[in-house]
Amino acid sequence: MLSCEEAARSLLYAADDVTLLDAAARAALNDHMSHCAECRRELRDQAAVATVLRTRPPDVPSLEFSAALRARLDDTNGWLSLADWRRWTVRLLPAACILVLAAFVAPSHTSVRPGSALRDAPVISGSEASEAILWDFGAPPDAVVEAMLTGPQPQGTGQ
Amino acid sequence: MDSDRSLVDAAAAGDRDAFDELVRRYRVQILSLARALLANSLDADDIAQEVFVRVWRSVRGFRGETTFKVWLHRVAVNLIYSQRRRLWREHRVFISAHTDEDLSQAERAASAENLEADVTLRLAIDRALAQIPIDLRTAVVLRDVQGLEYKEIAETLGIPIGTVESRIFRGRQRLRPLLRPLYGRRRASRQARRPAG
Repeated sequence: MLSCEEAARSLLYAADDVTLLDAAARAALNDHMSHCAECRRELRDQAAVATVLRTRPPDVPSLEFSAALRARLDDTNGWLSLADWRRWTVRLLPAACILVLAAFVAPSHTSVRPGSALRDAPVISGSEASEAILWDFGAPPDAVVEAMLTGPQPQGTGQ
Repeated sequence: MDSDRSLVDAAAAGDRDAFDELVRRYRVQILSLARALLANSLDADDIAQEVFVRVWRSVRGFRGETTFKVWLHRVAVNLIYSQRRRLWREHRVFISAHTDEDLSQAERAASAENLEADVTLRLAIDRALAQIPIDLRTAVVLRDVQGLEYKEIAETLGIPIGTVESRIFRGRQRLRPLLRPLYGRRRASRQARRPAG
């Protein structure tokens, strides 16, 4: 036979609706109930409380409630279109393409102009400069770190 | 099968009419939930509206891992809990039950009309609910007032179903002495409403 603790779960469901229990659980609960006055009382009380709560009248929204909700949803519509990243992504696509193209083209315009003093400077590639510093055991640690992090060192003008 | 699914899909695609239909389906439930858990606080209506606003904003991200009803209730419970914490911090006043004077006033008015009787009954139930801990109250309200299944409550609150059962069992035990006088009155009220003959 079920103990009171074991019966509690079935009792809870039986208080809601006894058909929630399968035949075996119902039979076990009935068997327990026939011997346990306390569980019979518990079942009655659980069912009574559930019944009262189920009769709580629903809260019908007022006209003001519905109007206020509609207004808030309308406001949200506007906010949503601003926050719609998909729409913004599409709109900004041409500008993004131009920026990408500009990024590719820009280095060729910043190369050494004819007549510049840089034209006559000894050409030292970035990797050579970095390598030179890395092999210079007398170089200060800050310069070594900077060379590793920033790549080519600024070169002199050759003057 | 989620009976709201087609409306949710349409709402996710930006169909406001579909979302309005979802609001119509659930506004009574969500308003009742907010008022029952916030003890008819004046903020309950505002919170109920905010639930739908939040859902409208995020419906596009709804993946359908639960039903819409469970998801909606989860949003509602989270907002209600946040509101309770905010009120507690700001006012240091627990969202309390209505005073006996309020109830007796409501009770006096209720004897006249059925509408007032409904209001009285609702106030009395909410007053009783407000006297039990919020975790027990939430489980009991979701089950007995909202009519959610045990599994749906577990999904809504993100807790095991055994915990849901335990909270409902203990919640009803705590409510028993608070609602017992009301139970008799409810039966009397029903009999009084029955047409003569």
